Amino acid sequence: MATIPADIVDTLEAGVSIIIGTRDAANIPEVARAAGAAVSRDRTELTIYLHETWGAKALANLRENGDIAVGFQRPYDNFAIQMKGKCTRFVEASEGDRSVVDRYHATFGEQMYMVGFPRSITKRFVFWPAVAVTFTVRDIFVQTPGPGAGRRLEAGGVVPTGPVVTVR
Amino acid sequence: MKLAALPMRCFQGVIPAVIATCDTDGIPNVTYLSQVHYVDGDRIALSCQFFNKTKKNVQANRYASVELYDPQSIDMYRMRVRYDHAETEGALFDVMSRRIDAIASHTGMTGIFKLLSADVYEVLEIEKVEGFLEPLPPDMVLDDPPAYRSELHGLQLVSQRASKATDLDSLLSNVLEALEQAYGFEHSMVLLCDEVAPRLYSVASRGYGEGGVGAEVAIGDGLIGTVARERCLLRVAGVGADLRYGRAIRASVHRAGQGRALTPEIPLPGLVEAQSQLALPLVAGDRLVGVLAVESKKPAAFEEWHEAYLEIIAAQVALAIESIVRRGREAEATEPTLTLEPAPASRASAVPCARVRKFVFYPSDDCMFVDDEYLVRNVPGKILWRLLTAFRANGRTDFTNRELRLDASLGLPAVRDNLESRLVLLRKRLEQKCPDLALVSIGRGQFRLEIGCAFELEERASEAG
Repeated sequence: MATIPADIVDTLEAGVSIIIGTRDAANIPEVARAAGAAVSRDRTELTIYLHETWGAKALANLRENGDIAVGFQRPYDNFAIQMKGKCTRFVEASEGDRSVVDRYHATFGEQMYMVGFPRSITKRFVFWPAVAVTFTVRDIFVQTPGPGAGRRLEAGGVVPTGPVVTVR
Repeated sequence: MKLAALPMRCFQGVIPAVIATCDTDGIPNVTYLSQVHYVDGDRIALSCQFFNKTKKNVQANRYASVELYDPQSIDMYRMRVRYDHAETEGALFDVMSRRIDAIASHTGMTGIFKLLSADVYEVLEIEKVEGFLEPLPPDMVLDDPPAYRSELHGLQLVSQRASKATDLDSLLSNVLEALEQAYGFEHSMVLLCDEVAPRLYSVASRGYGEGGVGAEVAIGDGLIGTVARERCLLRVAGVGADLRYGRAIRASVHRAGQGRALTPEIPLPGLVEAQSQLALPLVAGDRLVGVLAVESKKPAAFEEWHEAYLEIIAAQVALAIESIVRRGREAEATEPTLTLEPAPASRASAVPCARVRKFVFYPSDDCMFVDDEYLVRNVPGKILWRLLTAFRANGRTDFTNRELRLDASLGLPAVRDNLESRLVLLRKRLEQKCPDLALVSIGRGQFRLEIGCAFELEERASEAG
């Protein structure tokens, strides 16, 4: 089990790009994209939001075996990490979760805007309705492109600082 | 759906693609891809720059899932693929490697960030992911690039303009103007090879303002330098994404304590906010004449058909440059030599002008400044210094190309010098930075230095001194 370092929690929840890897019973992988993430209070669990329709295959895989890889990437500098674990809870997202997904949608739009994506495009992404999928974090890896990619993340001093995207 | 049915712009890397793999224990892995290359109707190739978890996984369990985006419609496609083999040489490897080399070179990482292999995957299944995007509002106008169905007319226009030109300057400016009119290329430049050093310098530009002419690029540096070295066309879409990727690796190299291997990032000549670039070599026979480069602020501005037409245009422009230079030289050889009499009434002291301009020449790097502002360097700098000192010594205003060619102090090679292009560059820099001086043609291979101000000349050992 791993604990998510406190200094990256804000980054994970601030609209960075979130990609998902799952696999079926025959070990055939399936790529997907998440519509938001929330770190648990004790930082050992991560909840991600998957769209019911366009994330359907990934959801089916996760319900079947729970094995998940989640990649986070900050668009403007490619700072990236990957977490792996086993999903334990699947909950249809509530209205309370909706604020997390809506905030993600808005901040993701701003992150993408910083690298030249028109807001008129990111506004069209459909992130709701979603299923909240929670997993216990087993491993965290650095994934920023370069020679250090793939090593385990150690707490402290790994996140290059940059502008923090916030949306009121 | 078939791979060939995907729009080719999906493979330009504007929106990074994603790959999910899985090891034999069933542990998934997910990461971004820097390049997805269309190989043929059944296969794609992915770039492998680092031996990473993805590579390990597909060597053990060959299946992978790839997500790809159409940069224009933002439609999302998912592919089920199967790893087939890796290529470390050959045409596919070279094509994929060049693009990475250009980014590596630009971000000062030549040799550090390079293609290890082009990994070929069979495409088993493709689906368009439905429901990911809200439908377009009915009143929204898509920013589609105009579909030019009059490409041949465009070729004809460029060709006519090129053939009418009588000198290098009008040839290049006519061609760049015609490229904008026919194909909408608003930002373009022609760089020619420096015959004394491994670099290119821009001699004509459109859509760059004053900075366009005189910019230099070393052979091998960045997109333009790579095109010159490899003598092959290179198109990069999503320049911003490529550079961010390159800079992320650069920062990782620094953090890993290997920063000494890095060289400074090279400023690109051209648009700071360029999102698409297309550069192609100008080759006449076996000789590289220069590079034609076009840029756009749109992420996927150039398509495959542009390449085909630009290659035809580039071949024609390269031959036209050679032809104009050759004709000029043949004419020079038959012209009677000028009698180099002092021109009457053109001494600086006699010019009715209150303004005194100060020219400073730094022979250490052949750099010329006017009133403390950079004017021009290298061969054009030496030429201007020579003209001004000749005028100061004996009042001469009329000069021949031939005498410049024969002047050993200018350092031009005995054969195949680029004197004409140096004079074009010098003329343009004077127009921009010092309109009180002008080089005016007075017949084939002859020109006059027109001086509209008083001036001082100073030679300094170095910039500091």
